[in-house]
Formats: sequence, C-alpha cells, structure tokens
Amino acid sequence: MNLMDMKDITPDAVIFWQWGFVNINATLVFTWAVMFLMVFGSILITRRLSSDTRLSRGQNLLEVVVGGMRKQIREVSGGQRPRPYLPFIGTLFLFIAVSNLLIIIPGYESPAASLSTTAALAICVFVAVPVFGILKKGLGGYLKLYIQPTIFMLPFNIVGELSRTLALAVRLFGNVMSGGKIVAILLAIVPFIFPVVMQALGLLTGLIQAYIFAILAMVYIASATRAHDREARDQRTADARKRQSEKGEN
Amino acid sequence: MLIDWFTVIAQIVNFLILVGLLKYFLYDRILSAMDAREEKIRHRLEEADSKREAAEELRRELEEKKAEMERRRGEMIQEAREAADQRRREWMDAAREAAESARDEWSAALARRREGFLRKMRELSADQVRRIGEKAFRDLAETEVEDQAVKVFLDRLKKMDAEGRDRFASALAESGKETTVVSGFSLGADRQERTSSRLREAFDEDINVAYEVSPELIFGIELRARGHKIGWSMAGYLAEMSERVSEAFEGESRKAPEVKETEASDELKAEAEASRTTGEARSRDGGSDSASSGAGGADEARKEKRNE
Repeated sequence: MNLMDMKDITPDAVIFWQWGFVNINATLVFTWAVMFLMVFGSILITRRLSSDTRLSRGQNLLEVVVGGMRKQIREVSGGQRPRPYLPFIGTLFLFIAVSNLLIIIPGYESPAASLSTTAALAICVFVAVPVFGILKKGLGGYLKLYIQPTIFMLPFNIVGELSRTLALAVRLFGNVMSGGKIVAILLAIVPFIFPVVMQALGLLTGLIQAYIFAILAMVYIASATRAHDREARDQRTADARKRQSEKGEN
Repeated sequence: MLIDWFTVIAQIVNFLILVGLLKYFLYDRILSAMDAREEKIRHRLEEADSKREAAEELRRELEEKKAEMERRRGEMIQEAREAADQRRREWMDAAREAAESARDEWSAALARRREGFLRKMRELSADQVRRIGEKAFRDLAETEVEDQAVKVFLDRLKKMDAEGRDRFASALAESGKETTVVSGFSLGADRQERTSSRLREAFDEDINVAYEVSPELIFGIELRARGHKIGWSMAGYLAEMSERVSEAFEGESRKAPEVKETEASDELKAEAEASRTTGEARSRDGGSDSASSGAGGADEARKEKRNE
C-alpha cells in the first residue's frame, strides 16, 4: 500500500512521470490533491453564505477558523490590522494543517514531509517578509531595520534572516517526516495499537507544526512591518486613546 | 539530495496559486459575510438601543403623565370634598335658617293667635259682664231706685264744688243757656219738673232744659252743656269693670311665658334635689364622699340641663 519505501525519506523520491528536469512526483500530486480539496471545499461552503445569525455548519467552521487566525495575527503583529496578512499566513497554516491531518488516510504522504515543499514555503516567507515590510514602511524604512540597533549588526541581521528561513524549512520537514517514519518503524516492530497512538500523536504534531510555522512566519513579517519599540509604544497609546474617545462618543 | 529544485519551484507556484484561490473563495467571502453580519448586528444593537431609549423616554413620559394624573386626581378629590363640605354647610345653614324662620313664624303666629284669642276673650268677657250688669240693673230698676238715682244726681249737683260749678256755668253761658239732661230711663214729668227747678236754682233761672233717654247710660243721669258733662251713671261702673277684666286678661297673657320659666326652674330644682339625694345616697354608700360632692353633682346636673 505504501508508495514509499523505508529508504525513501521524502515523497519527492516517488516519481510518476519524468521528462528531463521536469518530473511529477508524489509531493506534487498530493499537494494538488490537498489544494483541490481546500479550494473545492471552500467553493462548496462559501457558495451560499449567510450574513444572518443563522448559518450552515460549514460556514460556522470556516468562520471559527478564519476568525481564530485573524485574532492570532492581530495578537502576534502587535495590534496591526490582520486583513493584509490573512491570505498568506492563513493559507500557510491551512495548507500545512490539512496536509498533515490527511495522513490519517492510508497511502497518503504529507507534502510537508518533503524538504522541497517546506523549503518552498520557507522561501515564500523569506520573500514575503521584505515585501510586507516595504509595503508597510517603504524601502528605506525596511532596510533601516538591518542596521538596527547599529550598523555593525548588519551581517548578523542578514545571517539571522537566512538562518531562520532555513530553520523554518528544516523544522517542519524534520517533524513531519520523522512522524511518518516513526509510524512506519513502529509498524514493523509492534503491528497493533501502538502505531495508532503514534498516528494520533502525528496528527497533533502536524497541527502544532502548522501553527508554529504560521506563527513564526507572522512574527518575522511583524518584525519587519512593526514600528520601532518607542514608535510602537506611542502608536499603541495613540490607538488606545482613539479607541477610548470612540467609546466615549458612542 | 533531499531538495528537488523543480519541486521547490512547483510548490512555490502551487502555494501562490492556493493563496490566490483561497483569498478569493475563502477569506474574502467569509470575511465579508462576517463583516456584514457584524454590521447587521451592530445595526440591530443600535436600533435596539434607540428603541430602548425611545421606550425609556416613553416610559418616563408615561410616568410623568401618571404622576400628573395622580396629582390631579388628588386635587379633584380634594376640590370635590371641599365643594361637598361647602354645599353641606350651606344646606345645613339654609335648613337651620328655614327651621328658625319657620319656628319664628310659628311662634309669631302662635303669639298672634293667643293675642287675638285673649283680645276676643277680653272683649267678650267685658261685654258679657257689662250685659249682665245692665240686665241685672234693668231688671232691678224700679221707681224707688230711679227716684234714688235722681236724688243722688241732684245731691251731686248740690255738693258740686265752686270751681266745677263755675266751669259748667261758663259752658252753659257759651251754649246759649241750652242744656240737656240725658238719662238711662224715662224721668217722667214729675221728676223732670223737680230736676229743672233744681238746675235753675243752681245755675240760672233762664236756662232751657231738654230731656233725652239713652239706654246706654242704664241707670244714670247726665247733664250736658257744650262738651261739659256732669252726671252719674252705672255705665261708668260697668266700663270700669270691663277695664278691670281686660287688665286681668292682659296680665294673664303677659304672665304666660313667665309661668313656663317658673315651671322649668321648678323642674331644675326638682332634678337638683333628686341628684343631691342620690349624691347623698352615694356618699352614704361610699362613706368617704362629702356632702359637697353631692352639691357639686347638683351643680353639674344644672349645667347639663342648661346645655341641653
């Protein structure tokens, strides 16, 4: 039933079709499957949305998920509006979470167990950080972050930027891949019951990894978009005053 | 090699496509639905707030109206009560006045009737007495008595004092020596002759004497000349008697209320006496009460009686 042998660490190794550099491997196939599932499910649920107080179960689920993500983004970003970040961060979380939760289906391999996928996601984050930073603060404002607190920190900042991207990719890949491998190994040793527990643990781990990946991505983006501490403090007090005055007006 | 760069690129593309698709199919739709719902809820809350405020306002207005109505009700009740009291007092006064006036009228009428009755009684009595007297004297009138009456008359003429005689003489002179003798009975020629000669002796030889009979005089004889009159008659006695009888009735009618008061005071005295006796009886029973307390009881009884 298994597509992958024990020696295959990543689903990239299972290649269905190859033409030179271009190949279609299990990672891509399962990614498409996950994408199809998510998009089709979204279309299905959001086809008839209700803005009334009575709503369908699917809409309720999606609203809880989206509302939770929005709340998390707002908290992590230090009170910034979550709307611009939601599609990117939310999709990161949902894609990884769905990819990992589907391991409950026999014969399925999570795309997140492929270092290529996690690297791709990490690269996306690596690119997204300066993009959001520049959109928010302008090019100069963003680049100034690299010489904070002094110019001498520039190399360390650059290394930090790269290393955390690498860490993102490897952390997710390692966790998911190892989870899958542990289940496979345990199946060889103890065929009954124990692998089920490990499989459940794998579901939990997968969800936690999705959360960690998304939260870290948001933290990186927030560090690039957030004002300096003093400015942030000022901004926060100004915001608080504004909210209070709005309340008072109401 | 764990990383397949074609896969990496493909996954990046896949991810970006997924981001776009989910943004369109999921986030935007869900968020707009949520926003719409929030907006709707906010709108409803505002509406509810405004309605609540309106209701509160209405409630306040109604409370005020209610309080106003309560106040006005109280005022109206008070006014009605005062008006009723006023009307009652007026009616009571009117009734009292009417009763008093009725009583006054009644007592006046009573007094009038009593007065009238007494007057009639007086007149009747006097008249009756006079009639009886007249009748009695008429029945008794005989020649000897009539002679006696003439004699008395002539004696009177003789005994008349000088002043009276002069006054009559002057009156006689003024009347042209004409005089009239009026008698209650027929004198007869003999007595007329005697009387005329006696008059001529007394006053003047030339006087003319006329004789008239007036039964009203009953038993008397009068000499009249120009408003002057000398004589004697039973009518005078009878008139005096009628007067006396009238006076007696007058006195009786005046005395009537006094009699009432006397009776009342008699009653009071009797009651005071009674209460004094009971007080004494009490003091005898109690042994400690003095006799003065009995007298005080009598005083109190008298006071109560007066209050009544």
